[in-house]
Amino acid sequence: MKKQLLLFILFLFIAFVSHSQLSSLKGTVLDTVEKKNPENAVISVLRQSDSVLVKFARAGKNGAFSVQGLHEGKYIIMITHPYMGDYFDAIDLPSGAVKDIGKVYMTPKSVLLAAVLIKSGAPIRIKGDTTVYTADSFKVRPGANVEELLRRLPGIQVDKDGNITAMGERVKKVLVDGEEFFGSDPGIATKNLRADAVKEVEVFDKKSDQAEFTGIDDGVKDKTINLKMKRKEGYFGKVELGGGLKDKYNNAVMLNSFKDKRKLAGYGIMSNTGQTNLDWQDSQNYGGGSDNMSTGVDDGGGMFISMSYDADESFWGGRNGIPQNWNGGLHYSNKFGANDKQSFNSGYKFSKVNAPGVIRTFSKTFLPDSSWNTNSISNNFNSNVKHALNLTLDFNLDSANSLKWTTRANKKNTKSTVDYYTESFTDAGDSINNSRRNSNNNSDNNSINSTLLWRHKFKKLSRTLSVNTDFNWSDSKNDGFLYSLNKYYLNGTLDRADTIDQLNVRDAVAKGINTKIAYTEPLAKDFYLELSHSIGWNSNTNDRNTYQKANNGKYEDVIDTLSNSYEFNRLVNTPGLNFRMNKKKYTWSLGASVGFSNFTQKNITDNITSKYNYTNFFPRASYIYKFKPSENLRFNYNGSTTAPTLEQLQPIRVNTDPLNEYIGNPDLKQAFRHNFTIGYNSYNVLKEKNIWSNLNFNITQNAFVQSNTVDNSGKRTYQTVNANGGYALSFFSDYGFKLKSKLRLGFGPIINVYRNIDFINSIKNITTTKAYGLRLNVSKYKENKFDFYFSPNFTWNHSAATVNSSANADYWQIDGWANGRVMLPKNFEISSSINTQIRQKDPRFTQNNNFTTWNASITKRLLKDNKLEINLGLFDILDQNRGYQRNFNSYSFTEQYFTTLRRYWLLTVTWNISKNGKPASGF
Amino acid sequence: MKRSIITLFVLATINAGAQQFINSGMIEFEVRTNNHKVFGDGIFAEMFKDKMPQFSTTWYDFTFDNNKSVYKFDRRDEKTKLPWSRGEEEDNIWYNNYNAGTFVQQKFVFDNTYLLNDSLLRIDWKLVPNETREIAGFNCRKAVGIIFDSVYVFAFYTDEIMISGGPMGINGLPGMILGITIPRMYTSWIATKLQVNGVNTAIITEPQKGKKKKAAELQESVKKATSDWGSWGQQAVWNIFL
Repeated sequence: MKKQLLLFILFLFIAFVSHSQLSSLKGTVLDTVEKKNPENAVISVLRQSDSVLVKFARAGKNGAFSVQGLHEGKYIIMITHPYMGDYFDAIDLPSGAVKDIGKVYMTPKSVLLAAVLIKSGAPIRIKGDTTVYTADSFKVRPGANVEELLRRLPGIQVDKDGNITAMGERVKKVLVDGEEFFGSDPGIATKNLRADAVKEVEVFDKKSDQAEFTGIDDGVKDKTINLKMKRKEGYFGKVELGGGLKDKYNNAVMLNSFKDKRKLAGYGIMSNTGQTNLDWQDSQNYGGGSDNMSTGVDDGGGMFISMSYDADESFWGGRNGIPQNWNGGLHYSNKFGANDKQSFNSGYKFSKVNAPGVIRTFSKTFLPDSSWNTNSISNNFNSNVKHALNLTLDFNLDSANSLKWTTRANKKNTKSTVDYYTESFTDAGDSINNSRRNSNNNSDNNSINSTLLWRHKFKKLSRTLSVNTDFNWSDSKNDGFLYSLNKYYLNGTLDRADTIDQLNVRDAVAKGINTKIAYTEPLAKDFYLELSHSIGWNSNTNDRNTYQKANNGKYEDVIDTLSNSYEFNRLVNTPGLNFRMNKKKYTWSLGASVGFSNFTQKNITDNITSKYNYTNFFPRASYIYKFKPSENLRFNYNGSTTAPTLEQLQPIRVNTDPLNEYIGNPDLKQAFRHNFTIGYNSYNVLKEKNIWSNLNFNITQNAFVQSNTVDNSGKRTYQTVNANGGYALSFFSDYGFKLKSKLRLGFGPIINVYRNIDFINSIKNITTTKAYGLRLNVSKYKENKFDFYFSPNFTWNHSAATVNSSANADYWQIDGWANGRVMLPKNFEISSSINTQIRQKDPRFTQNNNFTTWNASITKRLLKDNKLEINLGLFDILDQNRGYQRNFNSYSFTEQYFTTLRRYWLLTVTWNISKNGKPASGF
Repeated sequence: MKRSIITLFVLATINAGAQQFINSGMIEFEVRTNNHKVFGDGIFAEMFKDKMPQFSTTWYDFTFDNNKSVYKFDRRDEKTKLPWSRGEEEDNIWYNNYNAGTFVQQKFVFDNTYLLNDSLLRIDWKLVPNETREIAGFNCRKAVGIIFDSVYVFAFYTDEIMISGGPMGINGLPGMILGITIPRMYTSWIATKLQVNGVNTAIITEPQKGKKKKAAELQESVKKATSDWGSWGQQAVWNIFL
């Protein structure tokens, strides 16, 4: 009972307190001089502690006002009227009071004319209407802020509240390097910037129409201080040392030093764990950026970023061999002129990759009347040395014209030695042939590519003209020694043997110049005409000379059947016309270009010249319907002509692989490819649901296909011919959504169907390959806590050939990928990834080819800003990683095992260094 | 920045008495965004910068009468349009009733048009009475406020225009806001002209189109959906709910 009473009293008390009485304020505003009625004067009540507006009211007809609903406290009363001087008063308002502040007399502004005293006489510079102080000539204590510096400057005063007065006028704005110091009052800029970072203090009356972002000073002249900072100068980089017993290492040093807009960066990498270059982020920070990355805006209004990988530029991945590489690069870029109108970009890269590797191949070949097995082993060593130079100059001549000149030069040397043994035998085990081969190749590739682009924007919106000229030259020289001992058997007994001991010398030169002029004209609102014309001249020559080892041990005797000099010239004129309409709901474009080509093939050796004229049609059409901004249906068609390459044309036998000889075909016609795409995309942001679908269909007329002739000793001769009937169809779709638990799920089908044509001993063979699958992915992400991703794929594969059904295959396959990361206390992080490949057993392949690659690593970050990082990584913990490929070809199936990185561990220490800067990240 | 001021009353008549206070009219705001700053300086952003104009400019009209207002799109500078911008936001309408302290907004939010209603934003304004600036011929005072918990708004208001309004949902000062800068959105809203006579005030009505929803409710779901977007998510929330 007592307790209840107490509670009741407590309740009453609370009710009383929360109901504490509100106060109000009243008074009358009067005009002292002109005795006018200051109706509508604003009475603002500000909290004294922080000047926050609490209430406001306007004065009534006779100047009477009242402000209601105020809590007790200390206030500032501010009374303002457009044509009168401001009135301020501080009041202490008790609880529940009605405070009458009586009559408030205000003075019209016309009376308030104050004389302004301008101090002068200090040794300061005057530039036009700007006064410039050199900051360093005014001594301040170390670590002082800009406010302290300003106090030292003659003509400038800073009061105790941080308000700045310059030449007697209140400073409205403090700019930093001409830009508004965002997120702050003038006072905040001067309080937060260090005095020793300032080079000059400029005082001027700021006008509107400034080129930079100015904010609110439209049409106003304000006393402004501009703090010209000392040049932004600093660096960032990292040193990464990684080692693992007994012989693994991965070391890298990267540094970017900047001064204002100048960037000087360099890097060096040495590794034998597959890091053969900078990744794209490091490439942007420490290299010159990647050529393989581009951004743009598509017809549907979407922004896209595309990245492509150059085979010898990117990570080693699962390619043959264990690479050992040394990379280095230097990059310099700078910007010049007002608004950085000119920019200069240059770089040099060096790379050397040595990769020893072993490839074992097991295959079985079926002809209509026979079949045999082939096993081979290849021990190879490749060494690549590459030097690359790049230079880009950008000139923004004025707002309408820009010029861009890009030049790339590459010098690449490749040395390779191959020790190869292959043998073929019948199902009964009788030998058909065997061959041992040693080859030694040295090739030098030099190339230069230079592009000049001029862009012009006309006064009329969307009317543009661009001219792009591209010049390219490349020279590829190749010297190869080939020694081969080939044995052919008949019914299991040696029938004949031959030896090849020759030198192949090849020199291929390609040069060309291509110019494209494009003009866009807006015909109506959202309707455009695009006109273009391109003209290109390209020339290829290929000298192939094969020398036999003469009796004197020198390679001097030319083998006529294997030597030839050939030239292939093309002059192509391509006018084009395209119409495009961009509406809110839909976008379409329709157009075509026509290529008039003049081809000249010159067989210099045999002195035969043949000329062809082709007229090629490149139609294209696209339509996008936008149901909603994030839901659209797309249709796209384009047709294109492909010319055969010189290698496909040159009528010469290439016997570098004596059991698989290639012969050029000068009668090749051009191929014409039709490509259709239909897609549907939808993304609901609020429900976090998506559907992406894409159906692609490709069909090629006169496609380039292989014609094979295999004799009964297992020797194959092949050449490129034209054929119809091949196509490729692929379908991809993904439906993704988020569960309540923030788990993200996605799934969808994969369909791939290919129909390939080839010829075996003049019999047309059609191979149909089908893969039907289901993709699934599950992921969850929590910032700074954990993330994981799990994605299994189930695929059913089918392959069937018409020439012989023995190479047909039906099997299922499971690929699984999972990775996860957990952030632990004390700056520890654990991450792991697993990749599994399981294939249905095929009695024709006896070896186990299922494997799981499991990696894990633990990282500890130390020191301020995680300057030091220690990482222990375990790769392929189960030691199962395998380079493996399975191939079902028209009349054969092949299994390939190649050397790849296996289980190893690496302890890496990374030291991040920086001063005034840090590496940029993606967004 | 071209400036055209049609101030249809005469400022020189300092002693004209009470009639200089304005209760009704139309104010045009020039809205300028620094796209390069919005994109930041990430690697991709740097690559996109030469595909967009540095600044985009649009104009919005604020029509007011009887302590109610409508704020909506008028036109844009086509030359400064972002190539991927589709202009759905141009159908947005802000209707504010300052007497009742409520708003009704017709907003296009991720594919759908919503009809949002709620109480007007309550902003704690810190007055900086000594700082003044002339905008569109009016002498304006500075005030600093915070919205969305941490975003600074720098506003300039004039007490000569009686309505306590401003562009979008910004309000609560003793007079009309004629200039706003929100540094973290890299955008400024500056009045360029005021028209007092011949304004069609009949358009000041509640918008009707869209799915009805409480603004705070939609804001919660947008916040949730964009929580993994980093600073882009924040910008999205600010852009939608101002």
